[in-house]
Amino acid sequence: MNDNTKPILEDDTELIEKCKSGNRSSFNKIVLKYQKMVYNITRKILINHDDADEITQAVFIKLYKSLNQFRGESKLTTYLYRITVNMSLNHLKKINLNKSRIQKSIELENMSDNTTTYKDVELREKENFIRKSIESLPPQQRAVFILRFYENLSYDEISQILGTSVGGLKANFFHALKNLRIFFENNNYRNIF
Amino acid sequence: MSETEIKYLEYLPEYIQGNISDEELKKEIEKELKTNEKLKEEYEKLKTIFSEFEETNAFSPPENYFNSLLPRINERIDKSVLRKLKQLIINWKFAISLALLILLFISYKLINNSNDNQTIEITLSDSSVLTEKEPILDTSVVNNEIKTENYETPVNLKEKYLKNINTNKVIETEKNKEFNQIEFFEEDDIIDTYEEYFDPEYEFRKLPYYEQQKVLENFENLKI
Repeated sequence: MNDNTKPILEDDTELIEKCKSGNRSSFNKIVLKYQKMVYNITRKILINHDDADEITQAVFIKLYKSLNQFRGESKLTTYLYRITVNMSLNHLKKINLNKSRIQKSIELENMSDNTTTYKDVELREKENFIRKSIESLPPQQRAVFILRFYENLSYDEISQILGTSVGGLKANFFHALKNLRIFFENNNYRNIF
Repeated sequence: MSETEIKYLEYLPEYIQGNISDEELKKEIEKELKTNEKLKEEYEKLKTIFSEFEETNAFSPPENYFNSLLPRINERIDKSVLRKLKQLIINWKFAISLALLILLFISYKLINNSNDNQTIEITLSDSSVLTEKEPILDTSVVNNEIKTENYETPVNLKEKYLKNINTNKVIETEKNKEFNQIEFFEEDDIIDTYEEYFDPEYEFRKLPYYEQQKVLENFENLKI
């Protein structure tokens, strides 16, 4: 588990109980604690900022509405991860129907920056390359890679979130790395591959 | 690729991320990396990929994004709550209207039923009074009053009463009196009266010229 989340978990139960009794400021505290975590996952799964923003908001709205049904059988973080990944993957299915939209938004994101120096251009190209490499992964592999690599979650925790066996998750992660390596090789990244 | 290579290849991501706590396994991997060129190459490639993903700002949000996120979430929640509340009010309005309608219907039915036990008095044109208590089964007229045991509605009652007038000939209404005063003529009387006032010459003059000619011709034929 990520060390950054440990102090947050200390009073999660208390915050949830207050939330259930209608305390809005407790809900606000939960949002402030987990907003970066939720955004980072949605952003990496969906690539595009606008989509990530939309889903981040939707995740917290869903959390607010479903807190009364939250029994505390799992950790709040696990519950949040589950909502976040599921909503992101569902959204990804929708936007995959119109793949060119992502490409356009990436291009617009790059164009909106008024950076002209060679270093900045190189940096933007590199960022674009990383986005595209993640985008090349199938949804399930993408989700497993993000949870394992970026969120540093154990396979058991990812299994609870995605409802998949640990063996299947290991295979997903392994294939994700293999696909990323292939993508780097095919694009002759930095002449290393 | 040999089975040993595949085994170490699977451990590589964990090794790069520093997730291997087993010291012996760590030493084994390090030893293999020194001797196995292919595994070392894979290790270098994977390490590059990992460092690229760790260092990149490709997924960073715009500046001050997190400052504006909470108010926007709260705004959306408030709107959603308001929408639900409006829907609830609409549903309640509908439910209350329906309840009122049902209540009105029940009240109407109750009032109708309570009328069954009331005495109905209908003042007739000849100042006679019609009194009923129960549904009409039999009617009897006593001292210019019809007293019956059964009734249905005041309208029906009045109709039945008027029918009884003709059959029983006991109660005389103002209309009956007027009706009796009308003078009727026998059929023969009417014809006689008509002939008495008929002027053939006047009638002949009223006819157009060609009609008059026809009449005259017919008249001559008759003579023959």
